[in-house]
Amino acid sequence: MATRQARRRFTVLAIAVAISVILIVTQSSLGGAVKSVGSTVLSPFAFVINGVTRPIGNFLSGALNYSSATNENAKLRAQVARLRMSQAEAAYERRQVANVLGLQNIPFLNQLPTHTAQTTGISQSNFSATITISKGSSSGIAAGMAVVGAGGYVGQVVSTSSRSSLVRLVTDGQTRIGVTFGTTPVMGMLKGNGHGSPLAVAYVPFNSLVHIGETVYTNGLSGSTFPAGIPVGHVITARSLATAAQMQIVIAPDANLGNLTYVNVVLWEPLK
Amino acid sequence: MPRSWLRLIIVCLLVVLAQETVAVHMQFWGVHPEFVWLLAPSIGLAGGSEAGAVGGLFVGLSVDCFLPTPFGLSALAMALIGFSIGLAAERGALASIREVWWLPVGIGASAGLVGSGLYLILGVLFGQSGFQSAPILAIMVNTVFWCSLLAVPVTIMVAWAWGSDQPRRRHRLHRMS
Repeated sequence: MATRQARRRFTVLAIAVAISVILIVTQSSLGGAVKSVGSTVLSPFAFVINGVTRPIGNFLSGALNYSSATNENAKLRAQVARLRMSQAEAAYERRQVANVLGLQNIPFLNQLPTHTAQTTGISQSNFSATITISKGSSSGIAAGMAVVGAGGYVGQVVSTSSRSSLVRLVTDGQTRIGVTFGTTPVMGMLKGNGHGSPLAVAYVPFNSLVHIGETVYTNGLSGSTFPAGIPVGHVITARSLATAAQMQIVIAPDANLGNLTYVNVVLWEPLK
Repeated sequence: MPRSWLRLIIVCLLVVLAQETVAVHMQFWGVHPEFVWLLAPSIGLAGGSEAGAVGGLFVGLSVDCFLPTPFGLSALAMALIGFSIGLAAERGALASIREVWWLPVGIGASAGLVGSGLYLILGVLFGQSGFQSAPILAIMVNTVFWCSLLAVPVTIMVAWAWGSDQPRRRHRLHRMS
């Protein structure tokens, strides 16, 4: 009797573990589909609760009209950031035209359609840096698309439901982006170091010409996840150590990740 | 079996949504409280190992809907924790939970510590290399603190939703047999 009960108990555990593992390993098919359905069901509840709790938080932290003032402020900041980004993109374009890469018909961000979305939630896990935005697959947004705003590259859409999307921020530890430096043909791989930490660029050869303050852009090489020319950040430190084959480069993100009320999703997907 | 599935689902959803909407805005040392780890052990305490595993699976899946990590990762960690606490309760190891005031607090702290630790390990095993750059110590301390603080109310809520004095009755049955 006790053995049968114990067997049943461990069978239930085995089934639960098997379901979890199957969903984990089938991210692109079954797991992703179930997640999309779950997000579609749960996101309206989360949206309503967020709608209720956010004004209370704003009220507690400021004056009576704090909420409308911060919204207006956020819109203006986003507008300034867009202009700043356009300026940075123009500089990138000029360089690229004079460059051999300009002949390769790489799409530039300002020729690409974008979709503006509102941020409805912030990092839901301490182990990852994410935001949730108010637009999803019904607006043409798909997993893998780049998200920009507030000065530059913000992150990448990792999953969508019909009316919301989850965006992995550039600071997340899983972030990997092919980048190029503003005035030189040097390329590298940008990596996130976790929420609140500066970014790092790896695979830049020893003694490459990298200058402090230089802007780092997505390189858009063949097979890249992103279009070329999105400003990602600027160089804070760049060192060549005698004992290392690569440079140690630290980058500060250009986007103001603390103020992401509105973002733009770049409606661009790599050619398959 | 719980007396009311609806009541249990509502309680679990409320805790998950409170975690994903309210708690994420409360940053301490750069991390936010994660008290959702209390749900699976509370279900395990109320309904035993099978309920802990199944409850942990569903709570974890609903949490995973909000995360960029592989769908099923939290579910796996929570199913294992729910099962373990449920098994301990069935074997009478947690029989004095209503008499010893610090026992639910200790279970909550352990659930937070083991839960976030297990999630970290499973994440790395399933290719989430970015987990290693997370502020692990701050996350652990914060999670243990909040899980200890909220262990009693969450356990009571889940026991109410389950609808009986299940842990105590089951322990008595265990001793009689």
